[in-house]
Amino acid sequence: MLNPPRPSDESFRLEALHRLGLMDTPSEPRFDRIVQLAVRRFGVRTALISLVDAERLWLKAKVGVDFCELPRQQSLCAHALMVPGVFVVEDTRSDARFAEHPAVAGPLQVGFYAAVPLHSPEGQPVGTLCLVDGAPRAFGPEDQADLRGLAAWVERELLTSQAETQLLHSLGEVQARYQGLFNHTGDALFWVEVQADGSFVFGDTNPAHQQLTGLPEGALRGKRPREVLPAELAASVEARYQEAVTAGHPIHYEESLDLPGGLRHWNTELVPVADEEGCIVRLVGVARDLTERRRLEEEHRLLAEVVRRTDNGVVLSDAEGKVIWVNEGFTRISGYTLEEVRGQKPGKILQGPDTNSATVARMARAVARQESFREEVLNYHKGGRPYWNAIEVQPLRDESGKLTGFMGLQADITARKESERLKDEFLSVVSHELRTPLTAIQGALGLLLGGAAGAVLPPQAEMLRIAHQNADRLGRLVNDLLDLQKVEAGRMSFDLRVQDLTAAAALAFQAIQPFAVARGVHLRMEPPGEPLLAAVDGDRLQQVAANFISNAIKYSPAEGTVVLRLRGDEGWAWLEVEDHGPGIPEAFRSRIFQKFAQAEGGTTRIQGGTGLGLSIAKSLAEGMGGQVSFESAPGRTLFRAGFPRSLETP
Amino acid sequence: MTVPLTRILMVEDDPDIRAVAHLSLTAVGGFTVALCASGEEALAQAEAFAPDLLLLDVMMPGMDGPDTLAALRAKPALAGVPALFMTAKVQPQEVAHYRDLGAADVLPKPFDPMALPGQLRALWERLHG
Repeated sequence: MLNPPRPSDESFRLEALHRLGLMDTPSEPRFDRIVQLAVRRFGVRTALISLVDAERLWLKAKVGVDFCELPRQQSLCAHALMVPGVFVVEDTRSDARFAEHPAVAGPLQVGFYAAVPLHSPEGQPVGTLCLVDGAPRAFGPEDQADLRGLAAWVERELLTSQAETQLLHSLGEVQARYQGLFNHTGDALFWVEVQADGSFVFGDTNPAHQQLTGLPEGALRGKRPREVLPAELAASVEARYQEAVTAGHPIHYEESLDLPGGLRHWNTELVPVADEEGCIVRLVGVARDLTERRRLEEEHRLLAEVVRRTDNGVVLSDAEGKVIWVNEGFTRISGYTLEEVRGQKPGKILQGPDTNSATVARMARAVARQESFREEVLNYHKGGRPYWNAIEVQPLRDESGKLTGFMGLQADITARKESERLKDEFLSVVSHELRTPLTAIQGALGLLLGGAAGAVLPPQAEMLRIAHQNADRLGRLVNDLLDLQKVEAGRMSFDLRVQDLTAAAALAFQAIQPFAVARGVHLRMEPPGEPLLAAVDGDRLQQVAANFISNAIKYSPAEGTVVLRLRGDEGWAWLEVEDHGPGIPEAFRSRIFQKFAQAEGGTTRIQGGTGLGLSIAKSLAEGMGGQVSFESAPGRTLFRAGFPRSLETP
Repeated sequence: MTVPLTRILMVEDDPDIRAVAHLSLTAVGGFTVALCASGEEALAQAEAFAPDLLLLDVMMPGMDGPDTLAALRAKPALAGVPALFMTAKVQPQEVAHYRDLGAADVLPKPFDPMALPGQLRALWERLHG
């Protein structure tokens, strides 16, 4: 028996066969029709459309047999496949090639066989259209031509079938792709159906639409705009829909909609979709939420404006510290324009001979470690003039934390530095040049009054006493001023130790007793019934107490009483001084702790106060972590200083 | 019985304060006083004067008080003489600093010239008591 040959490009042939997508599919009228016609035309028992797979023959259409497939080895079609044109065996039993073939000798009893190979659209032989009968028969040129014609018909159907299969496949892919887009895009998608009467009804919305608008799935479907939206809003969206229908092409617009999901700003595109007659039946809406972008744009615009216009210098540099951008403030302060500094390191340009090298080294270290820093540094203007710069530098990083550059802020603090210098100089002058003559004056007057330079007559003594008293007053004023300057400049140092406040208060009480006697005022001290511990500087606490007491004495009427009271409550130790003077005028209360504050009509000036006592007391108390307050009414005024109570024993 | 305080060497650059102090220390206190206008002058006079006590202004042009004290103390004859600084109102840690420099005490300026001799004698008693 002759074995059926296999084509050399069998693998291509099989690929082409499978691309048809017909193997093992149900029967189809378009192929059945052809084999039925063949049986009638040629008067044979059997007509088949066979497809030859790797190891089997599978029948796509058949008349006259009840099986669907055969082993390839047992099929005559496997032979016919390899023959161009019509393959005819008019009498199989007398043909030496096929007499022993299972199809001939077996139960199929094939006596006659004629077939035409069928080609795939690519031209590969994939099967046959074949005729089979039990008895031998003649098959002339006319028969052969008709069989070729039918085979051509089959091939056309194969082409159509493959195209349809591919189309369906692509449609499936397209659908999956668009479904994914629909479900996962950040844009809000919605459908609007245009009714026959021209009205609008909402269709589906995608998840992004549902989330951004706060209208859940199904909330809109089948509803008219005015059924789900406020009337004014419904009218406005319907006007847009009508505009798209009238235009007949996509329209774009921006709108702000206040929906359950919040007020949002949208960029919306409406795409009209027409039916076969060109009538617009649907609108597809694609709305992009611009709310966050608008907010960021506004924020960026404001920030850019601030950075551009601020008086401070702003310098942006890359990761190597080389300038990328500077603002107008930088140019104003340094004299250098962006063009002059771009690509350079700011320090190289700005620093000069008197720039502190330790400061420069600290800044370089911080930059190398990618750390932020603040420094005050002497820089040089483009014109050569030195100026003081307060610099703050922050490293800039991307989302992964990688250094992208540095942002530097620069402020011209030359004026402040100069005023600090002048203030220090002034303080130095005050402390030495002013106090030295005062010491001499006070000393000389003291000696005269004390009789050390000989006896003085009583009227002279009175004048000397006035001069001495006022020199003392001037001395106190100078000391008060120096104290205040020190504490305000943060240069006052406090020797904080846990101690009993009563002891320090008692010292102040004793020291001021002569002043009270001179003013005819009674002093009384009310100690606490328990130790009153707080971390304070004893000398400074005495000063606080003395300032409160002397203030109270000055405002007390003759024969009045001033009470120094110490008491504790939960967490605080209090030092209170109470007098029975006229009280603090309402209008003056807000300024009571200000420098040189003295109430109008007070007797203080006559009595020689400096107007700094309460202000110093407040600064000192706060410098020790305490607080001051007061209460006042006609006939009673009370000042108090409180300090966090300590449980620790001294 | 304590040896009484009699000889005081004072260094003060301001002539008026020198005059006040002189009157205070002589007329009120009855001391024998050497007045010097500068640290250099004190160095020149101190050994010959042989003071019981040194009274030094802190802030002076040229050699200041601490410099002067260090220079005087370098002289063997003066190494054991107690010294007092006189200075404007100072903060506690400054007083501690002056004590570390070898001062027996610090007297605040302005001083009371009528009380100054008494203060010095009290200190002298304390040092020799």
